[in-house]
Amino acid sequence: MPNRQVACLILLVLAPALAETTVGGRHLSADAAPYARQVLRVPCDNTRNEVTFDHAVSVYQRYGCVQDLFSDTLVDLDSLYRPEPAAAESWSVADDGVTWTFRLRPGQMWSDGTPLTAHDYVATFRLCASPEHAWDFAWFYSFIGKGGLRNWDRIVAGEMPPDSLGVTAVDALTLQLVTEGPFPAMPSAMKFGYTLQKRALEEFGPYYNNDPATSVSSGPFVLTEFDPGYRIVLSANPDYTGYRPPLLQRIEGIYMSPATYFLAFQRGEIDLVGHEQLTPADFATIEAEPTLQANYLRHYGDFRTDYILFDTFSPPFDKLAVRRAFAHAVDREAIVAGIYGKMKAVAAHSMLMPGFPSADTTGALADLQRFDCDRARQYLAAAGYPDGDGFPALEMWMRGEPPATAAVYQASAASIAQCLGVRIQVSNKDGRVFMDALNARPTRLQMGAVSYGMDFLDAANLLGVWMSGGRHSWSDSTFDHLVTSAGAMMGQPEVRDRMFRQAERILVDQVGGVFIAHRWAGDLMKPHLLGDSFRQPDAKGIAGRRWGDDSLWGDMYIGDRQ
Amino acid sequence: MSAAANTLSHGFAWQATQRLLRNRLAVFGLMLVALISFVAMFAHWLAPHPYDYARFDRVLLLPLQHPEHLLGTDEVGRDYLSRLIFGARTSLLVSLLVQGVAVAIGVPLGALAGYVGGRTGFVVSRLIDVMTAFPSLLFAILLISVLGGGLHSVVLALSVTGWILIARLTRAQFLTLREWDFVLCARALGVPAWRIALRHVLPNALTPIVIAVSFGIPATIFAEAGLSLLGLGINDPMASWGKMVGVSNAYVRVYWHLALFPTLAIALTMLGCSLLGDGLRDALDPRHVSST
Amino acid sequence: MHSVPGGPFDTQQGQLTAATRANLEAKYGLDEPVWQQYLNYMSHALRFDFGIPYQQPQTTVAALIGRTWLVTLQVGLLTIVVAFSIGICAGLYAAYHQNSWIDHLVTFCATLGVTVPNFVIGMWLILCFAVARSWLPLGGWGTSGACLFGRYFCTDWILPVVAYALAPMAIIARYTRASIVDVAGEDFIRTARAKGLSEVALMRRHVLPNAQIPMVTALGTEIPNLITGSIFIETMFRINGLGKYFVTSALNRDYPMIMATFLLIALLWGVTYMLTDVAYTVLDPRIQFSRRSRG
Repeated sequence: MPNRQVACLILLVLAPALAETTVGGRHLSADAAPYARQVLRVPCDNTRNEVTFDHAVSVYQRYGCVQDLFSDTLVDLDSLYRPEPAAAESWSVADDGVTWTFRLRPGQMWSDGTPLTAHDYVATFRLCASPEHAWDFAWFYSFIGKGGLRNWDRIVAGEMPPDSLGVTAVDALTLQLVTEGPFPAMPSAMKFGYTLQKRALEEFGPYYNNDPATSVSSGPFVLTEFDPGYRIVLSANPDYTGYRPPLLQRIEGIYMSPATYFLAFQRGEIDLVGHEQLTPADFATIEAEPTLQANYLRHYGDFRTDYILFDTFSPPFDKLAVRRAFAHAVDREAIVAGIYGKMKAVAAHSMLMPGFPSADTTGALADLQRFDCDRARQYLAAAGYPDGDGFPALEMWMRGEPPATAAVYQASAASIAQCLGVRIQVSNKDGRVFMDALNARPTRLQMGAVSYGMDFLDAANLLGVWMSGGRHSWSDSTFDHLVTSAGAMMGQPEVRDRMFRQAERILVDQVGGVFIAHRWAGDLMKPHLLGDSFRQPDAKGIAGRRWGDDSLWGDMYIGDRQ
Repeated sequence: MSAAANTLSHGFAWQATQRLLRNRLAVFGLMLVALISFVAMFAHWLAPHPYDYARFDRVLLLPLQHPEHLLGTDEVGRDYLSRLIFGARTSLLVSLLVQGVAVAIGVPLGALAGYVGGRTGFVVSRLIDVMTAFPSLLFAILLISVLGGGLHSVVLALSVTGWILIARLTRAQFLTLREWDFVLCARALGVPAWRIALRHVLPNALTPIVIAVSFGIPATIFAEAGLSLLGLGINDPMASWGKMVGVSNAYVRVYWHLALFPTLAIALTMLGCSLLGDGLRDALDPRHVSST
Repeated sequence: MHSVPGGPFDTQQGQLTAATRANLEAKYGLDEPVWQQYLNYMSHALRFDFGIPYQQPQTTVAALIGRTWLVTLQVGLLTIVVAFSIGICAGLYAAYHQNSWIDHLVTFCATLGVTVPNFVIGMWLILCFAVARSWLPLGGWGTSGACLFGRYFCTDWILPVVAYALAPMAIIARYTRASIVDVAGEDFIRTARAKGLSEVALMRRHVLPNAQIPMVTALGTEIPNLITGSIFIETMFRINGLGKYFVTSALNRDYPMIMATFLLIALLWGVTYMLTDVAYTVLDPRIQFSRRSRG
């Protein structure tokens, strides 16, 4: 009897402490809400077309609100966007510059009790390359370095079997990737190194995660409830042994229309809203209210730049003077201040946003496309169109942009039209019609306004899209040479950096595109959503979630609400 | 006989006009339509600013926030009153043209289907039915990718399916009315079929047609807006009321003026057309013909 | 459909490699000539196999439509009940008090109901009733908010049905009013009234039967529209229905879904037309479709 009483007493004393540990055994901090209330509620877009949770199954059709939580990537990116160990604990490259070896952290497990091995990664890469699967991100592994992963292109085309792919498992914990040409940014690129489970793939096919009964996870969360169109619930994975054990008990994804995200946030139904779903009216409300403003955490996002592109192979944009006239005719500062809003963007004079590697932070490139209406008119007159006389009427296409972005592009067109006296109409085309016209050879897109964000953190990425034969109808052989060589250069970071800067100067000076603005991303969060990784400003004073920083899932918790 | 008939028809037109002008609501409707048409026609002189002139330091101003912009400015910094005035031009043109085509095609087809009956009537009725399931959105995308954008493409794309409801309404009316006594009498007297249809049945069949047209006007304006928002209709910076309402959705919680004024304009246009239409129908009602 | 530019597999950021695109097209049978695709489709459709939607490869078109249309049907039927009952009553009242202030009010409200687009109405309803005051849930259909009497009435039905019903209500009211006014002015009505027939009997035996023909046509048109749903209402109020697929299928070039949804629309309209034609003969026995009119 007394033993029982003592036991009860001990339990009573320990109970509060016991309640404050997660299923993974971590202790919650003093300002955290009890574990039962560690629930993150996120909005899911009910207008999107989504089929899978996993990057390796489809990139553009993932359940965007709760994607990629069922495995860890090989690397994660730190606050300076450098690769740091995640599922892989170390990596190295051989002397030939093309053979990369990643060593997996030992002891990682799948939620069904089986160990995570390099064979899972191999099976995943082979799936991505297989012609039957027809992965929508397949272009990426052709694009890295010169030639991409070994045999990738030939396998995707069906000329070679998937097991000839340059991705092999040396042993259970060692993964080897071979590229066609040297690619120094490979570790960064492995931010996309997600994996599926080989056994589940073979047994249930690539969509095995869409059913809680067959879903397996090596990541911090497992699928508990799946009702697409209504709700998705993920629970903390009690068997997780990776680098980011979660403090949250549950993530709930609630489906709703993006037009009502902010309303739901104000009503307390969800805990965070991304900047892309915040309308200008919402931003006006945020700026007016100090609590909201303080909880809108800005960050670089994917260093997205808005710009205007041309068909430089046909008149009238084959003349450099015309392009320069257009570049000097856009009043970026006023557009960013008046229409975009300082919270959402900063004026751009080049492709790389300050903060990105090899970006111009000294303003050396600012003069090349600076707003100067007189100079613009001089250029246009020099090209043979004084005061815009004789200049053909233009139609600028946008790619299915939401109203806020469309307003910025329209303003850019208006700025050019008003300064130069040319006629520009703007048309917000359906995304597919736009890409169809852009990718046609020869291109049918005379003038368009788009944005591009990075896929991996290296100038080779954002400058690489400007190379000849790519999506942009502009070509400069010096530029191509610089970017290709620098992209493949191993070691010698200063030389590499210099070459990228030279290349960017050519791009801006020869007006491959007219650059309008760099975007600030951001998230509006509830005050009770806490976590040092996004609440503490980094060395540059930027707080907020970082692109590529998935370690925040081990850091995020719900504070005790007042 | 023909002289008497001429006098009768002259008297009928005169009497109809008199009846119309005596109807106060109809006159109000007429004035509304006339006012909006006037604004549309003389937009260049009436608008205080060019509709496409953007000032980036005067973005999203509320009405009367700046003395130069009575109704405020839009999301690109253009004067809203001017855009409203020029928008009248586009919206009126599209809606009246499409409704005009709808009546021009729908009424004869519907009359044919309803009055003639038999095999011809059956075939025409099925044609109308088949056109209902026509994929208008896809067809619009196709048409505009072939023809290029612009007002003419929009009118064409919307006209293809705009006549169906009116055809069906006309058909229903003709089906009913052709069994009425006055038609049977006229047939017995040997009046030719087309004459019966045109002068006896049609004026009695007008009511639902008039209403369909008056509902069709905002419907067309919004259909054009829908196409424009997909990049298939008119391009920016050209203004149209429907597009202005569509774009305002993202701003409406704070910048209410973006939605209010074009909606009011569309509502007033529709009100004017329906009042005028009702008045016309009343005036043309053959029951009021005084016998001579 | 196939001649419309853009295909189902174009994406935003990167373009598909030619090889990948070829693989995808082979997988979905899009590399065959169009006439052969058509024959394949029809032969499958006759066996009720409508294929697999590109947007959701985990399910079949038939299952997707079955699941989502059920919800849309509920929304639509409820909206029909609300819109028709209020619309017809308002129209009747306005017709019998022609040119009074009630009549003008009905006309004015009808105009507003049709010109204010339903996403604006929906937004304001949400703002007033769900955000400024939390009286009603923000969305869902039977999934959130309180349901009374065991799922026979849910509070989250209120806002979407109100937003959706306003425009049809306006249309129905105006057609009703106009049709009744039209018939009520006829000579035979005046004769009957002069002969001493009461208003109610007049209405039931003479006015309504004659007014119903144009009403049936106009109102009949509303029904297929309402039961196929509206993308705005469904996305804004989080209703997992079929309405959005009509638009997203076209925009995503989801060919199987496009074909299936249009088959559905054609079926619905065909049935509606058949029923309205039958209704004509029932309501007005003099109507005959087959007899040729002579002269």
